[in-house]
Amino acid sequence: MNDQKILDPAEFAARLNDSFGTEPLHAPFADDVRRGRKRLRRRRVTASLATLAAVGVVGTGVATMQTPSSVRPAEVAPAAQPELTEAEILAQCSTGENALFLDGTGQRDEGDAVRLLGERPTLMTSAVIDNRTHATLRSEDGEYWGECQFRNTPDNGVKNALAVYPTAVDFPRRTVAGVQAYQPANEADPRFTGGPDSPLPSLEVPCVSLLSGEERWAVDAKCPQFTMTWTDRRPAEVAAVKVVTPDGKASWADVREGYLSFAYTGDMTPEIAAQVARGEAPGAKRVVFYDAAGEVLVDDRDPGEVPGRGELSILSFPSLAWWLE
Amino acid sequence: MRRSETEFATFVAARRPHLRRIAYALCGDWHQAEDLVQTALAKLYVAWPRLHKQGAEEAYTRRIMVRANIDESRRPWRRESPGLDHHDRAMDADHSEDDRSELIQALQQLPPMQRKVVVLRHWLDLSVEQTAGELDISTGTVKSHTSRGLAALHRLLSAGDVDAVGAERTRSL
Repeated sequence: MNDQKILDPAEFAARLNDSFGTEPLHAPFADDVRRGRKRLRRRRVTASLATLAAVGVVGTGVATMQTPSSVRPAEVAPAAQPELTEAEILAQCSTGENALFLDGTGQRDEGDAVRLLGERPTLMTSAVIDNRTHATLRSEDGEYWGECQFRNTPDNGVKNALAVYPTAVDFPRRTVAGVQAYQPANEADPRFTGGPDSPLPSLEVPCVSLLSGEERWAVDAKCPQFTMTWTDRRPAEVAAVKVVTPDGKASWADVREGYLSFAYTGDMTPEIAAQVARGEAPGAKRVVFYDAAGEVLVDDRDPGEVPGRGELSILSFPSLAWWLE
Repeated sequence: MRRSETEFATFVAARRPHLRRIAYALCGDWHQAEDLVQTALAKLYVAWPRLHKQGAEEAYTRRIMVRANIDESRRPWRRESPGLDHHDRAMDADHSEDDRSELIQALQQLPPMQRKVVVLRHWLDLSVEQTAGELDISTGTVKSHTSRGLAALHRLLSAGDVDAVGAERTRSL
Protein backbone atom coordinates (compact mmCIF):
# COMPACT_ATOMS: atom_id res chain seq x y z
CA MET A 1 0.00 0.00 0.00
CA ASN A 2 1.39 3.34 -0.97
CA ASP A 3 1.22 5.66 2.04
CA GLN A 4 2.79 8.66 0.40
CA LYS A 5 1.08 11.96 1.14
CA ILE A 6 -0.77 13.63 -1.66
CA LEU A 7 -1.76 17.20 -2.23
CA ASP A 8 -5.36 17.86 -1.25
CA PRO A 9 -7.26 18.24 -4.56
CA ALA A 10 -9.27 21.17 -3.19
CA GLU A 11 -6.07 22.92 -2.17
CA PHE A 12 -4.63 22.25 -5.61
CA ALA A 13 -7.61 23.86 -7.34
CA ALA A 14 -7.52 26.88 -5.05
CA ARG A 15 -3.78 27.36 -5.44
CA LEU A 16 -3.96 26.97 -9.21
CA ASN A 17 -6.69 29.59 -9.41
CA ASP A 18 -4.32 31.96 -7.63
CA SER A 19 -1.36 31.07 -9.80
CA PHE A 20 -2.03 32.95 -12.98
CA GLY A 21 -0.83 36.33 -11.87
CA THR A 22 -0.87 39.16 -14.35
CA GLU A 23 -1.82 37.66 -17.68
CA PRO A 24 -0.63 38.97 -21.02
CA LEU A 25 -3.12 40.66 -23.29
CA HIS A 26 -5.21 38.42 -25.46
CA ALA A 27 -4.82 38.53 -29.21
CA PRO A 28 -7.61 40.65 -30.73
CA PHE A 29 -10.84 38.81 -31.35
CA ALA A 30 -10.65 39.90 -35.01
CA ASP A 31 -7.52 37.78 -35.34
CA ASP A 32 -9.36 34.70 -34.10
CA VAL A 33 -12.06 35.27 -36.69
CA ARG A 34 -9.48 35.95 -39.42
CA ARG A 35 -7.69 32.69 -38.72
CA GLY A 36 -10.98 30.80 -38.61
CA ARG A 37 -12.21 32.36 -41.85
CA LYS A 38 -8.92 31.58 -43.54
CA ARG A 39 -9.13 27.97 -42.47
CA LEU A 40 -12.75 27.69 -43.60
CA ARG A 41 -12.12 29.53 -46.89
CA ARG A 42 -9.23 27.29 -47.72
CA ARG A 43 -11.32 24.21 -47.12
CA ARG A 44 -14.18 25.46 -49.29
CA VAL A 45 -12.15 26.90 -52.13
CA THR A 46 -9.95 23.87 -52.52
CA ALA A 47 -12.99 21.64 -52.61
CA SER A 48 -14.94 23.65 -55.17
CA LEU A 49 -12.06 24.51 -57.46
CA ALA A 50 -10.37 21.17 -57.31
CA THR A 51 -11.04 20.29 -60.92
CA LEU A 52 -9.61 23.59 -62.06
CA ALA A 53 -6.34 23.19 -60.23
CA ALA A 54 -3.59 24.43 -62.47
CA VAL A 55 -0.71 22.10 -63.11
CA GLY A 56 2.42 23.81 -64.26
CA VAL A 57 5.81 22.74 -65.40
CA VAL A 58 9.06 23.16 -63.54
CA GLY A 59 11.93 21.99 -65.62
CA THR A 60 14.77 21.57 -63.19
CA GLY A 61 16.46 18.68 -61.57
CA VAL A 62 17.22 15.13 -62.50
CA ALA A 63 14.71 12.34 -62.22
CA THR A 64 15.27 10.04 -59.30
CA MET A 65 15.09 6.31 -59.87
CA GLN A 66 13.44 5.76 -56.51
CA THR A 67 9.93 6.70 -57.52
CA PRO A 68 7.95 4.43 -59.83
CA SER A 69 8.16 5.90 -63.30
CA SER A 70 4.69 4.61 -64.09
CA VAL A 71 3.16 7.20 -61.80
CA ARG A 72 5.11 10.15 -63.10
CA PRO A 73 3.32 12.11 -65.82
CA ALA A 74 5.76 14.03 -67.95
CA GLU A 75 4.28 17.40 -67.03
CA VAL A 76 5.23 17.11 -63.37
CA ALA A 77 8.74 18.08 -62.34
CA PRO A 78 10.83 15.49 -60.54
CA ALA A 79 12.37 16.19 -57.16
CA ALA A 80 15.57 18.19 -57.60
CA GLN A 81 18.45 16.12 -56.31
CA PRO A 82 21.45 17.38 -54.36
CA GLU A 83 24.79 17.68 -56.09
CA LEU A 84 26.37 16.29 -52.96
CA THR A 85 27.23 12.61 -52.90
CA GLU A 86 25.36 10.25 -50.63
CA ALA A 87 28.36 10.09 -48.31
CA GLU A 88 28.52 13.88 -48.10
CA ILE A 89 24.84 14.13 -47.23
CA LEU A 90 25.16 11.46 -44.56
CA ALA A 91 28.17 13.23 -43.12
CA GLN A 92 26.33 16.54 -42.97
CA CYS A 93 23.35 14.92 -41.28
CA SER A 94 25.56 13.21 -38.71
CA THR A 95 27.30 16.24 -37.27
CA GLY A 96 25.05 16.10 -34.21
CA GLU A 97 24.06 19.73 -34.49
CA ASN A 98 20.53 20.18 -33.08
CA ALA A 99 20.08 16.42 -32.99
CA LEU A 100 17.08 15.00 -31.19
CA PHE A 101 15.79 11.51 -30.53
CA LEU A 102 12.08 11.03 -29.90
CA ASP A 103 10.63 7.77 -28.72
CA GLY A 104 7.10 6.60 -28.04
CA THR A 105 6.92 7.81 -24.47
CA GLY A 106 7.99 11.33 -25.21
CA GLN A 107 11.50 10.66 -23.94
CA ARG A 108 13.96 12.90 -25.68
CA ASP A 109 17.65 12.36 -25.75
CA GLU A 110 19.81 14.62 -27.79
CA GLY A 111 22.97 12.62 -27.21
CA ASP A 112 21.61 9.39 -28.61
CA ALA A 113 20.25 10.67 -31.90
CA VAL A 114 23.35 10.28 -34.06
CA ARG A 115 24.56 7.15 -32.27
CA LEU A 116 21.26 5.36 -32.93
CA LEU A 117 21.62 5.83 -36.66
CA GLY A 118 24.78 3.75 -36.48
CA GLU A 119 28.01 3.86 -38.40
CA ARG A 120 26.51 3.37 -41.82
CA PRO A 121 22.97 4.69 -42.16
CA THR A 122 21.21 4.47 -45.50
CA LEU A 123 20.20 7.60 -47.32
CA MET A 124 16.56 6.93 -48.14
CA THR A 125 15.52 10.17 -49.88
CA SER A 126 16.80 13.66 -50.45
CA ALA A 127 15.79 16.97 -52.00
CA VAL A 128 17.57 20.25 -52.45
CA ILE A 129 16.89 23.92 -53.03
CA ASP A 130 19.34 26.80 -53.02
CA ASN A 131 19.49 27.38 -49.30
CA ARG A 132 19.06 23.87 -47.88
CA THR A 133 19.12 20.12 -48.33
CA HIS A 134 16.54 17.76 -46.85
CA ALA A 135 17.05 14.05 -46.38
CA THR A 136 15.66 10.98 -44.66
CA LEU A 137 17.93 8.23 -43.36
CA ARG A 138 17.53 4.72 -41.97
CA SER A 139 19.91 3.16 -39.50
CA GLU A 140 22.05 0.23 -40.52
CA ASP A 141 20.08 -2.10 -38.23
CA GLY A 142 16.75 -0.75 -39.47
CA GLU A 143 15.63 0.12 -35.95
CA TYR A 144 15.68 3.89 -36.37
CA TRP A 145 15.17 6.51 -39.00
CA GLY A 146 15.95 10.17 -39.16
CA GLU A 147 14.92 13.33 -40.94
CA CYS A 148 17.58 15.89 -41.55
CA GLN A 149 18.05 19.33 -42.96
CA PHE A 150 21.17 21.40 -43.41
CA ARG A 151 22.06 24.70 -45.00
CA ASN A 152 23.85 24.75 -48.32
CA THR A 153 25.45 28.15 -47.86
CA PRO A 154 26.71 29.90 -44.74
CA ASP A 155 24.60 32.35 -42.77
CA ASN A 156 21.42 31.85 -44.76
CA GLY A 157 19.18 31.41 -41.73
CA VAL A 158 18.69 27.67 -42.16
CA LYS A 159 19.16 25.59 -39.04
CA ASN A 160 21.08 22.34 -39.31
CA ALA A 161 19.02 19.69 -37.57
CA LEU A 162 18.41 15.98 -37.23
CA ALA A 163 15.46 14.19 -35.62
CA VAL A 164 15.61 10.45 -35.05
CA TYR A 165 12.64 8.15 -34.41
CA PRO A 166 12.17 4.42 -33.90
CA THR A 167 10.98 2.64 -37.05
CA ALA A 168 8.85 0.12 -35.14
CA VAL A 169 5.65 2.10 -35.25
CA ASP A 170 2.49 1.38 -37.13
CA PHE A 171 -1.07 2.59 -37.12
CA PRO A 172 -4.38 0.75 -36.79
CA ARG A 173 -5.93 0.14 -40.17
CA ARG A 174 -9.46 -0.30 -41.31
CA THR A 175 -11.21 -0.13 -44.64
CA VAL A 176 -11.93 3.47 -45.49
CA ALA A 177 -13.32 4.30 -48.93
CA GLY A 178 -12.16 0.91 -50.15
CA VAL A 179 -8.56 1.02 -48.97
CA GLN A 180 -6.77 0.11 -45.75
CA ALA A 181 -6.23 3.40 -44.01
CA TYR A 182 -6.47 5.12 -40.65
CA GLN A 183 -9.81 6.41 -39.43
CA PRO A 184 -9.63 8.39 -36.18
CA ALA A 185 -12.11 7.90 -33.41
CA ASN A 186 -12.77 11.62 -33.34
CA GLU A 187 -11.67 14.86 -34.92
CA ALA A 188 -9.49 15.74 -31.98
CA ASP A 189 -7.13 12.85 -32.62
CA PRO A 190 -3.66 14.29 -32.01
CA ARG A 191 -2.33 12.83 -35.25
CA PHE A 192 -4.98 14.84 -37.05
CA THR A 193 -5.02 18.07 -35.15
CA GLY A 194 -1.26 18.39 -35.08
CA GLY A 195 0.39 21.63 -34.17
CA PRO A 196 2.44 24.40 -35.69
CA ASP A 197 5.07 21.92 -36.84
CA SER A 198 2.72 19.37 -38.36
CA PRO A 199 4.45 17.18 -40.94
CA LEU A 200 3.06 18.83 -44.05
CA PRO A 201 4.60 20.85 -46.89
CA SER A 202 5.71 24.00 -45.17
CA LEU A 203 6.08 27.43 -46.78
CA GLU A 204 8.87 29.77 -45.84
CA VAL A 205 10.39 32.91 -47.27
CA PRO A 206 14.11 32.53 -47.98
CA CYS A 207 14.98 36.21 -47.53
CA VAL A 208 16.87 36.62 -44.27
CA SER A 209 15.46 39.30 -41.99
CA LEU A 210 16.04 40.41 -38.43
CA LEU A 211 12.62 42.02 -38.16
CA SER A 212 9.63 40.45 -36.44
CA GLY A 213 5.87 40.70 -36.44
CA GLU A 214 4.09 42.85 -38.98
CA GLU A 215 7.31 44.58 -40.06
CA ARG A 216 8.69 41.18 -40.92
CA TRP A 217 5.62 40.15 -42.86
CA ALA A 218 5.81 43.28 -44.98
CA VAL A 219 9.44 42.57 -45.87
CA ASP A 220 8.80 38.88 -46.46
CA ALA A 221 5.98 39.68 -48.89
CA LYS A 222 8.49 41.51 -51.07
CA CYS A 223 10.85 38.56 -51.25
CA PRO A 224 10.96 37.42 -54.89
CA GLN A 225 10.67 33.75 -54.01
CA PHE A 226 9.15 31.35 -51.53
CA THR A 227 10.18 27.83 -50.58
CA MET A 228 8.16 24.80 -49.61
CA THR A 229 9.81 21.84 -47.89
CA TRP A 230 8.71 18.59 -46.30
CA THR A 231 10.44 15.53 -44.87
CA ASP A 232 8.41 12.70 -43.46
CA ARG A 233 7.86 8.98 -43.21
CA ARG A 234 4.48 7.69 -44.30
CA PRO A 235 3.30 4.06 -44.49
CA ALA A 236 5.38 2.00 -46.90
CA GLU A 237 2.60 1.69 -49.47
CA VAL A 238 3.06 5.38 -50.26
CA ALA A 239 5.39 4.99 -53.25
CA ALA A 240 5.11 8.37 -54.93
CA VAL A 241 3.95 11.81 -53.82
CA LYS A 242 2.93 14.77 -55.94
CA VAL A 243 2.66 18.21 -54.38
CA VAL A 244 0.87 21.20 -55.94
CA THR A 245 2.48 24.23 -54.33
CA PRO A 246 0.65 27.54 -53.63
CA ASP A 247 1.72 28.88 -57.04
CA GLY A 248 -0.22 26.08 -58.72
CA LYS A 249 2.88 24.19 -59.88
CA ALA A 250 3.14 20.43 -59.43
CA SER A 251 6.32 18.63 -58.39
CA TRP A 252 7.24 15.17 -57.21
CA ALA A 253 8.77 14.44 -53.86
CA ASP A 254 11.61 11.97 -53.63
CA VAL A 255 9.93 8.90 -52.10
CA ARG A 256 11.15 5.46 -51.13
CA GLU A 257 9.21 2.97 -49.01
CA GLY A 258 7.16 5.80 -47.54
CA TYR A 259 10.15 7.97 -46.67
CA LEU A 260 9.93 11.29 -48.44
CA SER A 261 11.86 14.48 -49.02
CA PHE A 262 10.42 17.47 -50.80
CA ALA A 263 11.96 20.86 -51.48
CA TYR A 264 10.68 23.46 -53.91
CA THR A 265 11.44 27.07 -54.75
CA GLY A 266 8.83 29.15 -56.55
CA ASP A 267 8.33 32.73 -57.60
CA MET A 268 6.33 34.84 -55.17
CA THR A 269 2.92 35.49 -56.76
CA PRO A 270 0.72 38.44 -55.83
CA GLU A 271 -1.72 36.07 -54.15
CA ILE A 272 0.97 34.44 -52.01
CA ALA A 273 2.56 37.81 -51.23
CA ALA A 274 -0.80 39.12 -50.01
CA GLN A 275 -1.13 36.19 -47.65
CA VAL A 276 2.45 36.54 -46.41
CA ALA A 277 1.83 40.25 -45.79
CA ARG A 278 -1.01 39.24 -43.47
CA GLY A 279 1.30 36.90 -41.59
CA GLU A 280 -0.16 33.78 -43.16
CA ALA A 281 1.77 30.89 -44.63
CA PRO A 282 -0.34 29.19 -47.31
CA GLY A 283 -0.07 25.42 -47.45
CA ALA A 284 0.11 23.11 -50.43
CA LYS A 285 -2.92 23.27 -52.67
CA ARG A 286 -2.98 19.57 -53.26
CA VAL A 287 -1.06 16.44 -52.30
CA VAL A 288 -1.49 13.10 -54.08
CA PHE A 289 -0.23 9.79 -52.72
CA TYR A 290 0.28 6.90 -55.17
CA ASP A 291 1.01 3.25 -54.56
CA ALA A 292 3.77 1.29 -56.30
CA ALA A 293 1.44 0.35 -59.15
CA GLY A 294 0.73 3.98 -59.89
CA GLU A 295 -2.77 3.89 -58.45
CA VAL A 296 -3.91 6.93 -56.52
CA LEU A 297 -4.12 6.14 -52.82
CA VAL A 298 -5.51 9.54 -51.98
CA ASP A 299 -5.89 12.82 -53.84
CA ASP A 300 -6.06 15.40 -51.06
CA ARG A 301 -7.12 18.85 -52.19
CA ASP A 302 -7.03 20.28 -48.70
CA PRO A 303 -3.88 18.82 -47.15
CA GLY A 304 -3.85 18.82 -43.38
CA GLU A 305 -7.58 19.12 -42.98
CA VAL A 306 -9.48 16.39 -41.20
CA PRO A 307 -11.58 14.29 -43.58
CA GLY A 308 -15.21 13.50 -42.91
CA ARG A 309 -16.04 10.04 -41.66
CA GLY A 310 -15.53 7.46 -44.34
CA GLU A 311 -13.48 9.86 -46.44
CA LEU A 312 -9.77 9.80 -47.15
CA SER A 313 -7.11 12.44 -46.79
CA ILE A 314 -3.33 12.23 -46.56
CA LEU A 315 -3.93 11.99 -42.82
CA SER A 316 -5.40 8.56 -43.55
CA PHE A 317 -1.81 7.53 -44.35
CA PRO A 318 -0.40 9.27 -41.31
CA SER A 319 3.06 10.50 -40.59
CA LEU A 320 4.83 7.75 -38.68
CA ALA A 321 6.91 10.39 -36.95
CA TRP A 322 3.69 11.29 -35.20
CA TRP A 323 2.69 7.75 -34.44
CA LEU A 324 4.99 6.99 -31.57
CA GLU A 325 2.53 6.24 -28.80
CA MET B 1 -21.36 39.70 -39.16
CA ARG B 2 -23.32 36.51 -39.76
CA ARG B 3 -25.35 35.02 -36.94
CA SER B 4 -23.05 32.03 -36.47
CA GLU B 5 -20.07 34.38 -36.35
CA THR B 6 -21.80 36.46 -33.73
CA GLU B 7 -22.35 33.34 -31.67
CA PHE B 8 -18.71 32.38 -32.16
CA ALA B 9 -17.70 35.87 -31.02
CA THR B 10 -19.84 35.57 -27.92
CA PHE B 11 -18.27 32.23 -27.06
CA VAL B 12 -14.74 33.49 -27.60
CA ALA B 13 -15.34 36.62 -25.56
CA ALA B 14 -16.69 34.57 -22.69
CA ARG B 15 -14.40 31.57 -22.72
CA ARG B 16 -11.08 32.64 -24.24
CA PRO B 17 -9.48 33.67 -20.91
CA HIS B 18 -10.44 30.37 -19.32
CA LEU B 19 -9.24 28.36 -22.31
CA ARG B 20 -5.90 30.09 -22.29
CA ARG B 21 -5.50 29.43 -18.57
CA ILE B 22 -6.07 25.74 -19.26
CA ALA B 23 -3.41 25.87 -21.93
CA TYR B 24 -1.06 27.71 -19.60
CA ALA B 25 -1.58 25.19 -16.81
CA LEU B 26 -0.70 22.46 -19.29
CA CYS B 27 2.37 24.01 -20.86
CA GLY B 28 3.56 26.63 -18.35
CA ASP B 29 4.30 29.19 -21.02
CA TRP B 30 1.99 32.05 -22.00
CA HIS B 31 3.32 32.22 -25.55
CA GLN B 32 2.75 28.55 -26.18
CA ALA B 33 -0.62 28.79 -24.44
CA GLU B 34 -1.65 31.57 -26.80
CA ASP B 35 -0.53 29.47 -29.79
CA LEU B 36 -2.57 26.56 -28.54
CA VAL B 37 -5.68 28.67 -28.08
CA GLN B 38 -5.32 30.28 -31.50
CA THR B 39 -4.95 26.92 -33.20
CA ALA B 40 -7.89 25.45 -31.32
CA LEU B 41 -10.16 28.42 -32.00
CA ALA B 42 -9.38 28.35 -35.72
CA LYS B 43 -10.41 24.70 -35.83
CA LEU B 44 -13.46 25.47 -33.73
CA TYR B 45 -14.52 28.20 -36.17
CA VAL B 46 -14.65 25.68 -39.01
CA ALA B 47 -16.64 23.17 -37.00
CA TRP B 48 -18.74 25.80 -35.23
CA PRO B 49 -22.23 25.19 -36.75
CA ARG B 50 -22.25 21.50 -35.86
CA LEU B 51 -20.55 21.81 -32.49
CA HIS B 52 -22.59 24.79 -31.36
CA LYS B 53 -25.76 22.90 -32.17
CA GLN B 54 -24.51 20.04 -30.01
CA GLY B 55 -23.36 22.34 -27.22
CA ALA B 56 -19.94 20.74 -27.54
CA GLU B 57 -17.88 23.78 -28.43
CA GLU B 58 -15.93 24.11 -25.20
CA ALA B 59 -15.22 20.40 -24.83
CA TYR B 60 -14.04 20.28 -28.44
CA THR B 61 -11.73 23.26 -28.01
CA ARG B 62 -10.30 21.90 -24.80
CA ARG B 63 -9.71 18.51 -26.37
CA ILE B 64 -7.90 20.10 -29.30
CA MET B 65 -5.61 21.94 -26.91
CA VAL B 66 -4.98 19.03 -24.58
CA ARG B 67 -4.16 16.67 -27.40
CA ALA B 68 -2.28 19.11 -29.57
CA ASN B 69 -0.13 19.96 -26.59
CA ILE B 70 0.84 16.31 -26.35
CA ASP B 71 2.64 16.59 -29.63
CA GLU B 72 3.86 20.11 -29.24
CA SER B 73 7.24 18.98 -28.01
CA ARG B 74 7.75 16.48 -30.77
CA ARG B 75 9.09 18.55 -33.58
CA PRO B 76 10.65 21.72 -32.22
CA TRP B 77 13.98 20.91 -33.73
CA ARG B 78 13.54 22.40 -37.14
CA ARG B 79 12.46 25.89 -36.11
CA GLU B 80 14.55 28.53 -37.72
CA SER B 81 14.09 32.01 -39.01
CA PRO B 82 14.87 32.65 -42.64
CA GLY B 83 11.30 33.91 -42.99
CA LEU B 84 7.79 33.70 -41.59
CA ASP B 85 8.96 32.76 -38.13
CA HIS B 86 5.72 33.89 -36.54
CA HIS B 87 2.56 33.43 -38.50
CA ASP B 88 0.36 35.12 -35.98
CA ARG B 89 0.50 38.25 -33.98
CA ALA B 90 3.26 38.07 -31.40
CA MET B 91 2.42 38.44 -27.75
CA ASP B 92 3.96 41.13 -25.66
CA ALA B 93 7.29 40.07 -24.25
CA ASP B 94 6.70 41.05 -20.66
CA HIS B 95 5.68 37.62 -19.44
CA SER B 96 8.74 35.53 -19.08
CA GLU B 97 8.89 32.09 -17.54
CA ASP B 98 10.30 33.71 -14.40
CA ASP B 99 6.81 34.96 -13.64
CA ARG B 100 5.49 31.46 -13.14
CA SER B 101 4.21 30.57 -9.71
CA GLU B 102 5.68 27.75 -7.71
CA LEU B 103 2.65 25.57 -8.45
CA ILE B 104 2.84 26.17 -12.19
CA GLN B 105 6.55 25.33 -12.07
CA ALA B 106 5.83 22.19 -10.09
CA LEU B 107 3.16 21.16 -12.58
CA GLN B 108 5.66 21.45 -15.42
CA GLN B 109 7.93 18.99 -13.66
CA LEU B 110 5.29 16.27 -13.83
CA PRO B 111 5.29 13.91 -16.79
CA PRO B 112 2.86 15.29 -19.42
CA MET B 113 0.06 12.79 -18.89
CA GLN B 114 0.14 13.18 -15.10
CA ARG B 115 -0.02 16.92 -15.53
CA LYS B 116 -3.00 16.72 -17.90
CA VAL B 117 -4.87 14.31 -15.66
CA VAL B 118 -4.37 16.43 -12.57
CA VAL B 119 -5.48 19.59 -14.35
CA LEU B 120 -8.53 17.98 -15.93
CA ARG B 121 -9.60 16.08 -12.81
CA HIS B 122 -8.89 18.55 -10.06
CA TRP B 123 -9.00 21.95 -11.62
CA LEU B 124 -11.61 21.49 -14.35
CA ASP B 125 -13.45 18.98 -12.16
CA LEU B 126 -13.94 16.39 -14.86
CA SER B 127 -14.91 12.91 -13.72
CA VAL B 128 -12.56 9.96 -14.06
CA GLU B 129 -14.57 8.75 -17.05
CA GLN B 130 -14.63 12.17 -18.71
CA THR B 131 -10.89 12.57 -18.21
CA ALA B 132 -10.25 9.14 -19.66
CA GLY B 133 -12.33 10.01 -22.70
CA GLU B 134 -10.67 13.38 -23.11
CA LEU B 135 -7.18 11.88 -23.09
CA ASP B 136 -8.05 8.58 -24.74
CA ILE B 137 -6.67 6.53 -21.87
CA SER B 138 -8.26 4.02 -19.49
CA THR B 139 -9.97 4.98 -16.25
CA GLY B 140 -7.37 2.95 -14.37
CA THR B 141 -4.62 5.02 -15.95
CA VAL B 142 -6.44 8.19 -14.95
CA LYS B 143 -6.61 7.03 -11.35
CA SER B 144 -2.97 6.06 -11.14
CA HIS B 145 -1.82 9.28 -12.82
CA THR B 146 -4.02 11.27 -10.45
CA SER B 147 -2.58 9.83 -7.26
CA ARG B 148 0.99 9.90 -8.53
CA GLY B 149 0.60 13.43 -9.84
CA LEU B 150 -0.84 14.80 -6.61
CA ALA B 151 1.81 12.99 -4.59
CA ALA B 152 4.56 14.42 -6.73
CA LEU B 153 3.11 17.90 -6.41
CA HIS B 154 2.88 17.52 -2.65
CA ARG B 155 6.50 16.43 -2.49
CA LEU B 156 7.71 19.23 -4.75
CA LEU B 157 5.78 21.94 -2.99
CA SER B 158 6.31 20.87 0.60
CA ALA B 159 10.02 20.27 0.15
CA GLY B 160 10.48 23.51 -1.69
CA ASP B 161 11.91 21.26 -4.33
CA VAL B 162 10.58 23.09 -7.34
CA ASP B 163 13.42 23.49 -9.75
CA ALA B 164 14.61 26.68 -11.17
CA VAL B 165 12.25 26.93 -14.07
CA GLY B 166 12.19 23.84 -16.17
CA ALA B 167 15.60 22.53 -15.23
CA GLU B 168 14.14 19.09 -14.89
CA ARG B 169 11.55 19.38 -17.62
CA THR B 170 13.21 17.71 -20.52
CA ARG B 171 14.22 14.79 -18.37
CA SER B 172 10.80 14.32 -16.82
CA LEU B 173 9.01 14.14 -20.16
